[in-house]
Amino acid sequence: MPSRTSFFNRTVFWSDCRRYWPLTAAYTLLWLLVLPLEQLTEYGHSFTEPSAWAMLETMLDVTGIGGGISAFCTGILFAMAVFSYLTNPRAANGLHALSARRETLFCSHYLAGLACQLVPQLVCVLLSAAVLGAHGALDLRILGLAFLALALPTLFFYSFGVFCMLFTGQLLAAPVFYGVLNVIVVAVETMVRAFAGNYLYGWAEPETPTLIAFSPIVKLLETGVRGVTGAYGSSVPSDAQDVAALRLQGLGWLWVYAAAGLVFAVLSLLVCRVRPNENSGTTVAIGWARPVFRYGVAFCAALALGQLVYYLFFGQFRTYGSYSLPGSLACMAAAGMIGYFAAEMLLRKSLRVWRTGWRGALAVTGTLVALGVVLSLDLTGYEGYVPDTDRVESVSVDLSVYSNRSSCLLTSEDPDTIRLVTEAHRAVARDKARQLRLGAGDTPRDWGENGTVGCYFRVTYQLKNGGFVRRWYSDVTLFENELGDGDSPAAAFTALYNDPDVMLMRTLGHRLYSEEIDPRRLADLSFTGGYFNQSLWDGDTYLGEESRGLTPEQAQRIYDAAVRDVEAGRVRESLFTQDSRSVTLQLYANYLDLQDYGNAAAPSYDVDERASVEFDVVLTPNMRETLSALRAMGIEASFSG
Amino acid sequence: MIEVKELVKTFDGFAALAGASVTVPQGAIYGLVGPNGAGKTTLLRHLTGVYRQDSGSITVDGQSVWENPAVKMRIASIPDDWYYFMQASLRDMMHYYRGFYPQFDATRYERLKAVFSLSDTQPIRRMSKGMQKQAAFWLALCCMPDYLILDEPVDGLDPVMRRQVWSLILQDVSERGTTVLVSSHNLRELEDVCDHVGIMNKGTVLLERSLSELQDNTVKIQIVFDGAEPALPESLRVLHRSAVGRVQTIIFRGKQSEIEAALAACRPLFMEAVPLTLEEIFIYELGGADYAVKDIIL
Repeated sequence: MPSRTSFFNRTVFWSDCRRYWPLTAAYTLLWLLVLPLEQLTEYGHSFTEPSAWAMLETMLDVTGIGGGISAFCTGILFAMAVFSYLTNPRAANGLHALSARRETLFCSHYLAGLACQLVPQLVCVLLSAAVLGAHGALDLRILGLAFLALALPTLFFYSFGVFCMLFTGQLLAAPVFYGVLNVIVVAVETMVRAFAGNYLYGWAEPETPTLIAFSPIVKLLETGVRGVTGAYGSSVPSDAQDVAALRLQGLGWLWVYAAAGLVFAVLSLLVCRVRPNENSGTTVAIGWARPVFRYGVAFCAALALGQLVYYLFFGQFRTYGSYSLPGSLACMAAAGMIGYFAAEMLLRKSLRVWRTGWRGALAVTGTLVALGVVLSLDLTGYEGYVPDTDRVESVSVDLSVYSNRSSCLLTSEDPDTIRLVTEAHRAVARDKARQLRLGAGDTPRDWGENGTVGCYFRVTYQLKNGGFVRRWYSDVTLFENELGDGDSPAAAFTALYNDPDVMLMRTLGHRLYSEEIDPRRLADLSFTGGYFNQSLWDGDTYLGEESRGLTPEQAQRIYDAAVRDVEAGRVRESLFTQDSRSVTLQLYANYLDLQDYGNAAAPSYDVDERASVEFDVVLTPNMRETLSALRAMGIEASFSG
Repeated sequence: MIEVKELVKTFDGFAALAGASVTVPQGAIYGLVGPNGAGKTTLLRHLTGVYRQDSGSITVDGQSVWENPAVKMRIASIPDDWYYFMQASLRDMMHYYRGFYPQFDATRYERLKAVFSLSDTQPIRRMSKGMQKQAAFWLALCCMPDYLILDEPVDGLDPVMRRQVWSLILQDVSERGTTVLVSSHNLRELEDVCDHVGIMNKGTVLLERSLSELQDNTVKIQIVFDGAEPALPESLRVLHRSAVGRVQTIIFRGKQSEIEAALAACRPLFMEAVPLTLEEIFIYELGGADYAVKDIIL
């Protein structure tokens, strides 16, 4: 009968601690230099001692930013140290022949590696506490947060490093796996999006990868773990009482990753139990992970190397819509095969892999070709899909006409606007064949001549079920002679361009859109002033600048007049007009920022703090009321330029 | 007692062990022989709990070895590539071993200093191969094992140290009843110490017997007849015969007394039973069964 499981062996633990003391010492020295010694130097010699808030905020910044980066670097180093025996057949056989279960060995090694990082961190934080205490800035809560900022990412990255170590039987393969797996989700998502973008008309992607949380180091750097004060982390306090408001930004993510670290530790333990000892020295030590590695390398090579080769060899000849399906697929299939055989060589430790690998390579090639064909023929129905208006919660549109004076940027929940957007979307989707044909020409398009204009159209629907639909059409050609045809892109885009909401936004809302201020959050608007500036011309002769500040009352009058002009339809325009005359003036206002704490289906708002906003009012010659209001203030807008 | 039944282990489709079965009686010194690649080391790694079998069973005193520290702490092994930590001295490794073998005998460790003339503070990596082997024996013997598993144990040891090491092992066997399983590809080396022998080839154990069983069952007779050789009695089973001049050397299977009595009826001028080497026994025992034993041994 097997003996009872023990999860700890003191001999193994202390042996690891003793054998890897140089690594621990170097790590300790690093944090001694970064934390207490730096604090001693900086605060001991400054003429004006910084506030307690500043000292503690600096400590959170250093541990927050440095903790993640150092944990990323040292996590794999300590994992490689304490689990290096798994990659050396002699060592693995020697240690596994001793009278200890694999669980015992694993937990003892794991805890030793973790202790070698956590103990130096604790020591350094305690020494920092002494330094801060000497300067009257001792705060146990902040010190606890600082320690968490160091310890939580350590728990994650070290556990993840251990996980990588258990999957490989080659010591040097572990850091490669570790580094790659830390960024692979974001990288693959980006590459897949680029791949899909080559084949799908109207393909649009979010500004940041949606799966970024699965690339931990990228996510932590993006989150910016640091000390902040206040709900938005923007205000800078002036005295020590604000220490209570000091917090660690990104702490939630650190807890999430720490929990993930524990999961990785448990998974590593499970892998350790089934890891065949005879696979020490192999690139991938776990049998079922080998096909994953083989096909993973192949597809990553196809996506990255294949697309790179395509752009290197064919990219300079490519214009929008002229993507060569056979050329692209050939490059990707070749790169996929190279990746597959490279992985096979690593797994078999042999260059002679053709006989064993040709079937797999063929499968990779076939899959890539099938994927390319499916996407290019739009068998998924992506290109023609436009959501029904009753399923749309809100829509964000960016419609910019290259020859016109302003662009249309707005987010709207208005059903009429949503309907206009979907009609414009359908029109441009229907026009795919012609647009691609126009885009395939090797010569630049002659927009502005023969009654044509170019534009791009980006739309994002937020659906009522919480989902998003994004499309982006660039270099769309519109024909003036099709304005009478209601189904044409020209007619649909013109209707959208002159929608009341759109007209309001293109007259007053540019700054709101660019600063991502939701107009729904503007409440209790009170103007604080404004600024008018225009260049004066006499024909082609530049006469100088005319500038003038505006009082709050003047700003309010101008704003009201501009709104009335928009409501009266005086900013209606044809997309094909060549009249680009406009004057822009700025109005400044304060408002109560209504932070949206509810969900999309049932928004609810709460007053958070007062914020400022700036309106860019785009004046055009037809805005009679606004020009009249300006004239009453002694300002004559000049459209001669 | 160590019992291995129908052990199968494959590496990437190659069957390193293809149904090997071994029984090592309590207190025996069991020699496992076979050519390179026969599966000896693989078998021993299963016995020390390093490898997990695909099928079959490995038990020590009826208990499975795999992941069973209670059994493993009764087993000490010296593989052909003994492992030590890079920076470690013998004393460091002694401390490490003590953490796994509660019965580790520190007094014996001190006593054996006189036998193994090694510095226990010198890094092991600076020692010669033979010295490292001595260090391995030193620690293994101090673990006070009930089972000692040795893979090519005396490779690299000088003849004096070989004798010394075997003497220590035999002392443990006689005093503590230690069971020893030793693998080698050289039968001559084992002949003096083993009381049981198993022979492996291509992942299976072709034969295992006690040495006395083998010696009692095979007889080598040198015989000279006057004039033409008479027909030998049909009851005698000849395994091999050769002649140099008039002196014939004949290997028989059977009891020595019965064979000598039967041959005496043929009135030989001279007849003498000559001791068989272990190597000869295996050659002639298995040669007739169409096993490639000669290839294994020679």
